[in-house]
Amino acid sequence: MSGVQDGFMLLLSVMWVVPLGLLVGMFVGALPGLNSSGMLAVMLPLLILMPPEIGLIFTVSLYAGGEVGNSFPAVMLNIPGNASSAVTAIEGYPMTLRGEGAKALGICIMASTLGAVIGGLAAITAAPVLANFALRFSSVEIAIVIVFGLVAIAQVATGSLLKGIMAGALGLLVAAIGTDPIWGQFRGTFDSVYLYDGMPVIPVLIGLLGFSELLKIIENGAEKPKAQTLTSIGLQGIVSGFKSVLRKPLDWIPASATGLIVGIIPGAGSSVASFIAYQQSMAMAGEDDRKAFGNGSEKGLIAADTANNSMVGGSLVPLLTLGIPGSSSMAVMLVVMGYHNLQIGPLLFQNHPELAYAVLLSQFVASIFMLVIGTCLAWFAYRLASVPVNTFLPVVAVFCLIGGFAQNQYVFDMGIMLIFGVIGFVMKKNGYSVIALLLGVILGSLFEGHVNRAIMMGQGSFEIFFTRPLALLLWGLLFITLLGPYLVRWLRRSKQFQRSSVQGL
Amino acid sequence: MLIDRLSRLIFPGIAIWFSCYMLLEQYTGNYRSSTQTYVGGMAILVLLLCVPIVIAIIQGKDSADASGGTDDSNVPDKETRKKDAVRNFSRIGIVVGMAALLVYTFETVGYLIGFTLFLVISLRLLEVKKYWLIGLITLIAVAIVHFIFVQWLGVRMPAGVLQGYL
Repeated sequence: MSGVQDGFMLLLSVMWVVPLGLLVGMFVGALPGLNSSGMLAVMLPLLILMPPEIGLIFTVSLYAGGEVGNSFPAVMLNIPGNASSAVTAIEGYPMTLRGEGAKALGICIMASTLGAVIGGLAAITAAPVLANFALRFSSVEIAIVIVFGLVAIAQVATGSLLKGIMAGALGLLVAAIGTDPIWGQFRGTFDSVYLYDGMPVIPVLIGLLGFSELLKIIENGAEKPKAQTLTSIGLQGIVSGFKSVLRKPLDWIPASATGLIVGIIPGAGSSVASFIAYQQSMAMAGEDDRKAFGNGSEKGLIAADTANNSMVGGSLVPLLTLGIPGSSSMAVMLVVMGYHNLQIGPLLFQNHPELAYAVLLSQFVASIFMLVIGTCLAWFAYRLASVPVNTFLPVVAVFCLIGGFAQNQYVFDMGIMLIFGVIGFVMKKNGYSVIALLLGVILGSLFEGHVNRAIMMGQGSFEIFFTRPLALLLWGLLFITLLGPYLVRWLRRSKQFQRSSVQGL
Repeated sequence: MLIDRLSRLIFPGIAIWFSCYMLLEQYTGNYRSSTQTYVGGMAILVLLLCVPIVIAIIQGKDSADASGGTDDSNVPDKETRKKDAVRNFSRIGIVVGMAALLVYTFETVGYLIGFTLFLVISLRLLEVKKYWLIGLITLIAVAIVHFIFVQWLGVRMPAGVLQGYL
């Protein structure tokens, strides 16, 4: 309990960060093109230069605000801020066309708020329990968890599983650049003194998430968004949206659970959460309600937006307890924590409990502010979607370059940012998982350290990876994750085959 | 089609090149066996995973890219789409080229002049037509860089030719 109290006191002392983060997040989220992880990547130089408690709470608030901000242009102008608000556009925009735009915005704001509350509750109860469990992990289990995280990301992220695993393995290999952790020899440095300390993570992150996204926007034609008509928003309409959500607990409760679970799975992200929750809502809807899906269904909108924000809480759990980011935005948080030399993983709750709980509690505070700030911003924030994308892209590019420079203040790192920006663009064009590569780079040195320690524990033998009970359990989970979808597909095909043979007879 | 396949080979090509570099460096250099095992193992894993990917690309069986590519839903004819694609790729090339030039000359030119030129040229390249808007965006962005990043957060960016004045 003292950790919770200390966390609460710490949060009170920096409370101003939460509404500021939400405000900035909602504004940037309303701008077309930049997704949450791109926004956080571009803001990374600011986040790392702040004190750790401010930087981390600001990150979570930015993330949560961005998920709400994405909804505004999606509902009012049929311009999704990113993939996760595509569902919001599908259901929200038809509501606008029939004169219920304000109500739709109210639904988005209240659904996001409730999602944030439930996500926060679940994170604050589950995280310490999981952290205690994770303290039993030795280097063997941690190494397997990292592999599990990378495989899970490869499984759910864009592109094929093979491409995802290859990207993750390449990331682990890139992380080997620098100094050998045991003998101190340089390796893979291309004889460059700037790589003696290893591949700098922040420029890689900004390049892969931020700069590559910028290049993708230019590729798609950085022109004025195809805005429809701009409508005025009234408070009455927004409040009716709030009431509509509160009257439908059977829609937002299951969606919150979905978002939470998806958030815990590394790499899944908000777009996966919103689509799964939407599909579930459709499947559970009655005959009449199902017809409304795709034509302005309140249930569909509630499900998507609740899942978006409960996912934020879910993604904090593996980050704070195991040191495995649940999404690319959480990867940014991991980098911020690493920059401040914070113990990443279960020891965070032992060594810095006040910080861990302050971050978890900040979601509750964010949910309260979300209602107020979201309502105020809704009146005009969606108009930001009409800002021509070509006016702010070069500015984002400049911030990416500064971000690459800020950590070590080497011009070399700006070059690294640029190189990985181009690599990230090529990867996205050809269906490779950027997040798998990024996590491989971030977790690579940790992985190698744990593998080396595990081998020492096993006195030079790899057998130790297959003899400890916890390790075997984790291998089991890994194989289920890897082979599960293929097994399900095979079972479905054999059932279909059986059915068609019976019909043929 | 050939260009498309060649472009799909870029990333696996980078992965293969880097893995070979790490392998050669480990086994031709004077390294201990413990580090050779880890790096060698990872490099061989990457190479093995690249093989089926490259084979699929060469045979034309590579899965479609998830990004969706260019949104051409409102552009009716093939020629216009091709022109737009060429134009957008040239823009990407120019932006990346300018950023690379900026990085190369950053210490000589300095952040103020470097970013100003980069912003003005990029905005013009991306068809921002109003010069007053270009001026305003550049001024605000450079002011943010100077007052927030350099002055407040203390990011010591090279002043270049303006050394002593900033």
